[in-house]
Amino acid sequence: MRSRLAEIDATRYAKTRNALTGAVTQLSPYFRHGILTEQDLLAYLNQATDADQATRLIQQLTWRSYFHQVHAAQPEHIWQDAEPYKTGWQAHDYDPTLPDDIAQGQTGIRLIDQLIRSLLKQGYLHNRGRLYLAAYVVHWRRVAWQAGARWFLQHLLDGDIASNNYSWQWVASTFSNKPYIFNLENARTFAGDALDCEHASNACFEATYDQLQAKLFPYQARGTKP
Amino acid sequence: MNQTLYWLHDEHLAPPDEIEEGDRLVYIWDDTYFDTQAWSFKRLAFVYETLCSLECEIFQASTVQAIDELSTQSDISTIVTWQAQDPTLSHLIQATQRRHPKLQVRPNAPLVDLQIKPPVKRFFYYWKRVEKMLTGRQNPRTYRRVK
Ligand SMILES: Cc1cc2nc3c(=O)[nH]c(=O)nc-3n(C[C@H](O)[C@H](O)[C@H](O)COP(=O)(O)OP(=O)(O)OC[C@H]3O[C@@H](n4cnc5c(N)ncnc54)[C@H](O)[C@@H]3O)c2cc1C
Repeated sequence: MRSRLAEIDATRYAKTRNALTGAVTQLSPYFRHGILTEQDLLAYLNQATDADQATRLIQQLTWRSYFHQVHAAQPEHIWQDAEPYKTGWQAHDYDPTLPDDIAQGQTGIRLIDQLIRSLLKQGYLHNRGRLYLAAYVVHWRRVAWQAGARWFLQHLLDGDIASNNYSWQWVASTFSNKPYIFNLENARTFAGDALDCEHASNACFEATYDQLQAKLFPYQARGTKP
Repeated sequence: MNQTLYWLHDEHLAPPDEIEEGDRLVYIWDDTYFDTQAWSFKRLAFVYETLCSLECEIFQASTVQAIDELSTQSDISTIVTWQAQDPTLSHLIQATQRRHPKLQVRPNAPLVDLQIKPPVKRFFYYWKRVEKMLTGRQNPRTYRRVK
């Protein structure tokens, strides 16, 4: 594990972590299985890196600790909506089962199918890939976050119920102030060569945020669907 | 009769620092548990490969039965495991502890105690409180949500 820690470049991490090809650590499966602890990474960063450079990485690690402590404080809530959706839709408007085309990676939308293939083949996705996929499942397909979260837990090598379920809820808006969505411009900025953003099948993401907002959440301004 | 048996589980696949010669590292490969979790082959392979690298004893059995049997072995004085956050695993540990009150279930120390109690607040509320403790300074550029 020490050799994995020695590969961390905290400065590049801070600069590039948002990009799909950025210098992220890919240490999450080791944290998930207790092979490495959060304290190990913090101690390593404290002795090997300038504190300023390490801030972003420590902050991300704190997200993990946060989700775990939220879960420990209310373990019986782990599969429940923490708050209502802020999308204008109600919980019963969301499909409780994951459609087969998503489960198989055959949605016909190039960038989504590429992300699903990585999930199934590598058991790993960059955080932004997870955000895109979760947003597509919950907001474009109107599937309940619970169905998507269950699917991720089957496949992610770092599948961790607290980080996973609360991240899904963060995207869904049941544990955040607004739903997370993305557009093709965002994918072009952050995906680099990792995704085929220019394929015509990605057209459902080719819009401004205002247009997407109006299309995906037509009742949001009124609060909920009449 | 003074061996400690460390019962590893999938949230704790590492030997404890205080392990001594003669102590045992044991993992129970419980098919019923894995059926409930419904993990992909890849996930199972990751766990298995990690276990191989640890050189621990692996028993393919029901968890409760395996602990029942191991606990009757005369040279084992203590059985130790660790708390789990996954509800299925946590229930399994609790069920085993009910049958074996001497099973020690150790807590996992958090990176920093955020003192979270319901109603839970958003991440940045806690981050602003612990940032200095963890990084030695405060940096308002870290107070924003991802785009
Ligand atoms: C929908 C969705 C589901 C997710 N499911 C999981 C999951 O099951 N297990 C899991 O560990 N993470 C999950 N995450 C959080 C995050 O995507 C991963 O922790 C991160 O991508 C792991 O890659 P890395 O090790 O290269 O991370 P790095 O960026 O290198 O970060 C270092 C470590 O910090 C922690 N971390 C980083 N970002 C986050 C975050 N946003 N939330 C929680 N912890 C973080 C991880 O332990 C990670 O290994 C999920 C995020 C989303 C949006």
